[in-house]
Amino acid sequence: MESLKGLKTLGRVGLLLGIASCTGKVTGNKSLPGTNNPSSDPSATGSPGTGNPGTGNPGIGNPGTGTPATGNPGTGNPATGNPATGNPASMVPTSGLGSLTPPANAPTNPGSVALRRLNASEYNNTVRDLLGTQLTPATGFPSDDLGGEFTTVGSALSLSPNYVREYENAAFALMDDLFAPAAAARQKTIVTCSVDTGGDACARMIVTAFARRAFRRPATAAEIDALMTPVAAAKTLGATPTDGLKSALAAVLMSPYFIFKVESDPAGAAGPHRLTAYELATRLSYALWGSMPDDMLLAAADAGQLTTDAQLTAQITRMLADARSSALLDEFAGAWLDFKNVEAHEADATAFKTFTPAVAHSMRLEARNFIQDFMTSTQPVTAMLTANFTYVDASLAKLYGLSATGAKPGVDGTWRADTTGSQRSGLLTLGSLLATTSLPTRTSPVKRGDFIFSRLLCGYIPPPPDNVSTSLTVDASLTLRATLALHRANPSCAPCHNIMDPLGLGLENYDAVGSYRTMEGAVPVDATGKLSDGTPFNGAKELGAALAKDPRFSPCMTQKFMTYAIGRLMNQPDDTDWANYLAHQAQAANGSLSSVIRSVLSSEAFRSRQPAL
Amino acid sequence: MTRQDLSRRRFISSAGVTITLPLLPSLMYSRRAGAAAACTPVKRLLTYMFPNGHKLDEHVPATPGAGAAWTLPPMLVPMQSLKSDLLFVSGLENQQRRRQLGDHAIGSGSLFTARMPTLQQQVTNSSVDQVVADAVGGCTAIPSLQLGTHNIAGADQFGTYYTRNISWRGLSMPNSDGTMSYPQGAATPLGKEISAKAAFDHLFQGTDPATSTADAAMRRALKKSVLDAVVPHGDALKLTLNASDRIKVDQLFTGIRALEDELQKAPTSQSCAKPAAPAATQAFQSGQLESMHELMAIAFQCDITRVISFMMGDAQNQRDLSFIPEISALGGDSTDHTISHHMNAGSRLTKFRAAVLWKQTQIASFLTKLKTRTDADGQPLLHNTLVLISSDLSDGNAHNHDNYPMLVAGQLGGLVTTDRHVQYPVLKDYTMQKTFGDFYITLLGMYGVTVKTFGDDGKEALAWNH
Repeated sequence: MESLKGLKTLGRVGLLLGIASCTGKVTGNKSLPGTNNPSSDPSATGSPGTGNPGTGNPGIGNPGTGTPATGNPGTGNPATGNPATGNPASMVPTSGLGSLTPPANAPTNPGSVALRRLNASEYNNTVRDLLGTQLTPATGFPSDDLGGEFTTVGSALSLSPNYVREYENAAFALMDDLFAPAAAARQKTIVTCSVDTGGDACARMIVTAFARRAFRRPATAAEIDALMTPVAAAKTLGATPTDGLKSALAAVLMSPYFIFKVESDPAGAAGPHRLTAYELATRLSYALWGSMPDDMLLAAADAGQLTTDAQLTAQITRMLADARSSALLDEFAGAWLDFKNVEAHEADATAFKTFTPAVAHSMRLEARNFIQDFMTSTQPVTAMLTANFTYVDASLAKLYGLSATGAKPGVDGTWRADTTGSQRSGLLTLGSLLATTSLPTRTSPVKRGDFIFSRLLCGYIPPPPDNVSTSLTVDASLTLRATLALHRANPSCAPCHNIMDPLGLGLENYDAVGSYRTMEGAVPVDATGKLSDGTPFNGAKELGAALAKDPRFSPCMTQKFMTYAIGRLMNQPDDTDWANYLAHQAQAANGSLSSVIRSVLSSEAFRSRQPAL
Repeated sequence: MTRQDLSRRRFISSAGVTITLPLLPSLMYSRRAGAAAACTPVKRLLTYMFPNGHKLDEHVPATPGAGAAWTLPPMLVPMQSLKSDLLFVSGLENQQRRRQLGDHAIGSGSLFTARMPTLQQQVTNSSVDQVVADAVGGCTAIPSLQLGTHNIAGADQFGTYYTRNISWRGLSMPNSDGTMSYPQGAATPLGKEISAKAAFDHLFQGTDPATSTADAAMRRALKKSVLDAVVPHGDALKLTLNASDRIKVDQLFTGIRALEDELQKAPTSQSCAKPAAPAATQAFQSGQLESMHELMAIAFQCDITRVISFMMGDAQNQRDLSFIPEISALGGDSTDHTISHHMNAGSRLTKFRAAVLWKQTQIASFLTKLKTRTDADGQPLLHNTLVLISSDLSDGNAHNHDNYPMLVAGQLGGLVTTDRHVQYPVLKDYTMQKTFGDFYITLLGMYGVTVKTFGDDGKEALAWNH
């Protein structure tokens, strides 16, 4: 499959079907007189591999093969897919991850990155650290678009006029907040002199110090000149000097140097080059903290002390130990494993009375603390799939049938519970994962299988082929497993569903809100299956154990973190090699989550830029 | 020198500093310029998307014709009292006969642009609502509004900006013969406001009667100085960036110019009393949708804006519809997208019919607001408005874009003759097929914007309007 070697996943693209499974029935729109849809031509149906000549085969197209995300817009050929092969078995692209012989040397192309603006959570965190405010203005901003699963990807983030209006509202609200009487203490850290007595010189000093932190680098004199515009305007208008200062500080928050994480290439640069110290400090702080660099990191950049591996490693160690690194849990892991969204998940309230808002919240804490356990220990990331512990509070303990005896809850009310001998086993049985991959009324083995395949193995499942209905005909006499088996008998459905369904069916012992069950209605649950390599399993524990041995898991996790931390889709030429190489590096350390993070952040993929076209 | 150039020069001088012209002229709000039209008579446009498609064989009227010659199909029965204000256009297509997967993103992404989305890139052309906003947006305090009910859609291959958004601003170019071109290129998805409370605050901002005129003027002047302060930053920054990154910075300054434009307008004297604000949090079916409908009607009635796009739900919407009694009564699957795959059989078909009927009932109640409220000229609001109503799919079950229905409500001051079903033939040769692109050429003409082509395959005006 040489032609597929470069295929990269874009994460879980497309397959968000409620019941994404086919019956194999062709549903060409034959009821329309006069319609002669080329795709409903019987000769073109049934075998997606034989798509319309000249259009490529959409079934195996790699969504990343247009132009690179940062390339010249408008020149891509969006319809380009891989040539039709006519062979359904080849429909499923391989990611290239997990090669048994990882590259011996680091790849050379760090890839090009589109200019990234702060996303909503980064904006909130940044103004918290910049101003000490408790306001979270970005919570009301228009939503950030996703790149893969993440809202850190520059090519997906845009600014509409309404978004800019929100920036303006936020800037003024934040200044009103800073200058409120109740904020006197923190105001003093920014307003270090009196503009009433100190005049323009005082205002300039305040703005200069503030801009350095807000721009994440020292501002130039010309930049400060421009920022002084409102100070002068206030005089002309007869407004108070404080009004002028507030407006100048608001201008800092409207500047592109605050809103964007600005990086640029030296004039004439064609090949990869290192980031400047300030650019690197910014990448580090947003990757680890989802926020601006602190004074120590900026000071290191000032002093040129972000250059050597040792200096970088020391900063990463320091920053991982800081409380702000919880952004990795809430934003990186929360998006990767979707527990960020469990509290918004809809479950049928009649059928699943146990799934209360409080339980959904506990499930988010469970997943968050589960990942934190890996963040703060040397357990290998593969142990996520086999872990014999989880984090529960009283309501989850009851739901999972775990003992609450002797539990010592932490501040969030949860405790680390030993799950040995219970029906919970690591990541796959996290309540949030089981719930968010279900429909409101029932489980969806297809969604669960897709989740495992795309999020944990970075496989890419193309959407169902043309004119194949993706609905199950629900026959009450059949179990879900039997119903799903029907579509796998269809050659056009089988290649993908042979991958997804067995994975998802392995979790059938857990209902649509994650409770353990042994019966599906009146029929005992059958959670047996085989991996694509033939490894048999029965239920979540054995499935987890098998996945822990899958060579794709660690590189996939690495690639997810690269997407999040670098802020671009992993669809450029060296990206698969990067993921394999860096996962191998992490493995050579101790294979822990923090070693994956260190491996990525210390690499040239993170520290360097490839100029875009 | 075109009028657009004048507009740009005006901005530059107002900024009080030298700035480079934007890379993409289209990225700026060019209202009162280029394609600007007269502010009277009032012409409004509302583009309305409901999610997950039609029950096509029960949604297209049986026969073409006017008055008694056409009857509403079963799925439009909730609109019976509005029939005299409706124009159903059938037989058009949009973009493709499934050349590519990503049905929902293709549907919503091309719905009002007539342009095939670009995989994982924000590359398309302006949507018709934004072309019209350029023409009439300068007449009102807010050039255009984008509203919706949630931001949850997945990428459906192409990107969440195609499934969560139907309003785009792309390139616009005046031609020497007075026509306009809207070519494909880097474009900005405008996103949408999903909180009725926030939308309300936006509509009625700056109407605080407690503020004195002098205070308000000073506040506006200071705000302007803030915007002036950052313009040089943008200019300097753009010199250091590559072309695609400059586009991102241009998006920021497009927004800043829009704020400048607003500040330069005298505060609007609201002709309407400020209504009560909606609750801060509302459930979709028991408050949010109704509040959004009400706000859109008020925005038109008070002439705060004349252009709105609205998404009843995102493309491929997976909202749980068990609040619809006919759906909950049947038990089992109840999410919107799941039941759209109804296979023309069984309980899921029954549920899909109920879902489509529920959506049309909500739309009918909104249109009734426009029909029963009086415009400044004494006519119903709906008389001076066009509402374009369609979905991210043609047929929900087939997930296709063939024979794509377009329901039009309102008369745009008499430019559109309603109570008709206009049917175009579905042809074997797509190159001969009439399309949404053709439909939009006629539409834009009615707003004073002359285009020769639009979208991927809009080639000629269609006389659907009368």
